[in-house]
Amino acid sequence: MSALATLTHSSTVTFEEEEREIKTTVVARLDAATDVVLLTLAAADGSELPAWRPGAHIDVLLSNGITRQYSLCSDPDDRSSYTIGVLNAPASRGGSRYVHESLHVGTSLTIRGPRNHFELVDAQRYVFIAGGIGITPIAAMLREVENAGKPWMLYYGGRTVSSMALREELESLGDRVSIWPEDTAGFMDLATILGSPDEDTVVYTCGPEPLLAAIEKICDARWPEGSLHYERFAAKAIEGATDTAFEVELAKSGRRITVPADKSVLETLGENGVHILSSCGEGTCGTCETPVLEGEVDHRDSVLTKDEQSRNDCMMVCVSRSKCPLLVLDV
Amino acid sequence: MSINIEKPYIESEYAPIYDPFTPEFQADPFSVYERLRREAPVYYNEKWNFYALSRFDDVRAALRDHETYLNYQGVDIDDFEQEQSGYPGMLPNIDNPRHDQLRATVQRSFMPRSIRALTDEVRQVCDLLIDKFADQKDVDISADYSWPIPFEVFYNFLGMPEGDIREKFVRWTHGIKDRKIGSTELTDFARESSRELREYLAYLLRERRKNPRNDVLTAIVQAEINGVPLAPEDIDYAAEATGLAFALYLGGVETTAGTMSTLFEQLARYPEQQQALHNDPMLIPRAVEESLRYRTIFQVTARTTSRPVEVDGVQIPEGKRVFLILGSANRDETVFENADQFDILRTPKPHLGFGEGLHGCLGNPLARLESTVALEQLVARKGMFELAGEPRRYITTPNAYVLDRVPVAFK
Ligand code: HEM
Ligand code: FES
Repeated sequence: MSALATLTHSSTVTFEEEEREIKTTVVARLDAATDVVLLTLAAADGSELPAWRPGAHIDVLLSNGITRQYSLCSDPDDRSSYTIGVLNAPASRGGSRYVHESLHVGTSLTIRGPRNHFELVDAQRYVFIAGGIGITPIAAMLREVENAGKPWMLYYGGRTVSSMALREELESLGDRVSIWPEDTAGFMDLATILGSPDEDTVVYTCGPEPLLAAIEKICDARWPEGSLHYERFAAKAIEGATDTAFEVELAKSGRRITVPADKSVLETLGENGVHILSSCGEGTCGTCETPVLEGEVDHRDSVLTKDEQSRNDCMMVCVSRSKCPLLVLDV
Repeated sequence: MSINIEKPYIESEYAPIYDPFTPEFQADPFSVYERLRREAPVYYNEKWNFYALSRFDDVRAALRDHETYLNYQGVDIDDFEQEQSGYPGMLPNIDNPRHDQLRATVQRSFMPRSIRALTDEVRQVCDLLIDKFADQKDVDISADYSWPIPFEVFYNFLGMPEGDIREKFVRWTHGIKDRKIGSTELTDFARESSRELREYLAYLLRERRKNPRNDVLTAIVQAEINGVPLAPEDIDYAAEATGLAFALYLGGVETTAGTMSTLFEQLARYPEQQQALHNDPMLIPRAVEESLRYRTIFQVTARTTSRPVEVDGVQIPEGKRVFLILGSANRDETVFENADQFDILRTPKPHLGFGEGLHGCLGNPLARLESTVALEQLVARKGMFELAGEPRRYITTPNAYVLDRVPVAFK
């Protein structure tokens, strides 16, 4: 599970206030680019939604038991609906795949929030750098900055033109928008984009980890402290934290095998000649259930009940991982 | 002929490498598959306008890519009009999002942990059948053992009534698969059986609504999807809930009977492998897996492309039927050493006998349990056996390779 799955906000750990859950309905669904859908949600009872500012995100409670966070990209002044953008990463399981396949116009959906950990500060000038689906919070910011009459530039990178959501709308804003599809234009030229550090300019960026790391490096070295504002999205499908490697011990043989961060237990065992029956490969069918003798499982299936999961005596090895360094399996 | 890279292999005069609707092909599918893998891994048949994939990696990738390969036109390679499958609720033929929602309503009943609870019952069924031929030397191990087991176990599990009416179920089960070899259409008997069975399943579901029990039919009639009941007020033959029950009915017997028949037929041919099982019954699950791989009862499934896709350098356009030949994938010599040999001792490896991914077999834990226990009981209670006549091919859809007669003689 390595591809960028969705916007998850690693900074979102505290709940500032008792947030109410809001029942919403999907009122529009737009295929905005290859593997990106824009979903517009309105309150199920037709009431106004809570106010928000650009940079805010909401929690979406998916009925498969997963909670995911998505940035709002619509117009904050329009309180009748929220729009979120969702990327269906090929390697993602559960969350964004679920959104792509199961959420259609008319589907009901519970959300929480909005919350904002990526506030737009007041400045003279703005440089926005977005990578892939990271365009969603940035798009809402652009609108606000544009309305305030402040100068801005947007650099927007993506894999291919067809994978870049909102591209046409943004391009219509003129030459302050610069589009960088990797396959034809290559990577964004960050050294030039960030080549003139300036007291009165702030840099806002959202995108995949390598992009953020490169920007952070340049800004740390050359820009005044506090100019860079960013939001990461974790390269992982489920609830924020990044996958890590861990060991499994096979009780019957005593063998220990390391499961790397980007492979499932099922795959890893298979590569080591230990074949566990499987079918769906995505935690829905229960075929690959494997008894667990020791260790705490990070359950990611959607077939066991919460109770069954909490017993910690088995796991679906096609998706579930470990919360501790070593799991002992009865294999 | 060499492997074509830019273009699919196209028949010129109609002397097809692969036409599953011919008796010649059905007589010996595996040698055809071998040619396909070697000469035409992306095969196009002009007469019937379908593509076919035959290599393990290609078939597997397609099974897992449920965005490019869709099921809405059915998994049957015949019945072009979808007379039998074109109803709501037919799980194998439904794409997401509905597929996952529908499957989730019955998934828990079919999980290995739920199925394991049936072990003793399956053993009892097997024992009763063995009792009947315990003192006989000559036994038809397909007709008298392999077939009756799933009939009994599966109908109980589903929640079908017992008694004389079971004979009717048996007739319907054969009836819905009735085909004329060489034809792509259902027979009248198949049409009639499908209709009667649907009517009856709808009636049973209405009945279960009134008198719920601990069975799969009750699970279906009580299921809700996002708070909406799956079954309507008035359940009729065309209801989605009825379609789901029909799909299960369709999947549960012939496949399992066929796998066991193959298992016993092959063991009859290899006394040393039988001996190995007697020496070490722990090998039994491996023998079951090998029979699933070796004959691949559900030989081929079908998909329809939602977008153009490239396989082995060949473009398959959008909207095309693509046959995924599981039976060929499971004999791919680049994956399985000595692939054409039945060998229960081979190194275990994942096979595609139950498909994989979204539509991977719902009933696989049940089929595995039945086959394993059936072999366990036979090994425990009877001695070695050898083939005592020609096995007979069951007449069914061209998707399947099933035996219904396997005469053996016990020593
Ligand atoms: C050894 C016996 C069996 C074999 C070889 C077998 C084979 C298969 C295969 C290959 C598929 C995948 C089809 C595809 O991808 O298009 C499948 C799907 C399915 N099988 Fe089985 N099967 C067996 C037993 C059973 C049993 C006992 C049931 C009980 C109800 C069952 C019900 C189903 C259903 C409902 C599906 C469709 C699943 C879906 O679309 O989500 N099968 N089976
Ligand atoms: S293979 Fe289906 S849950 Fe793991």
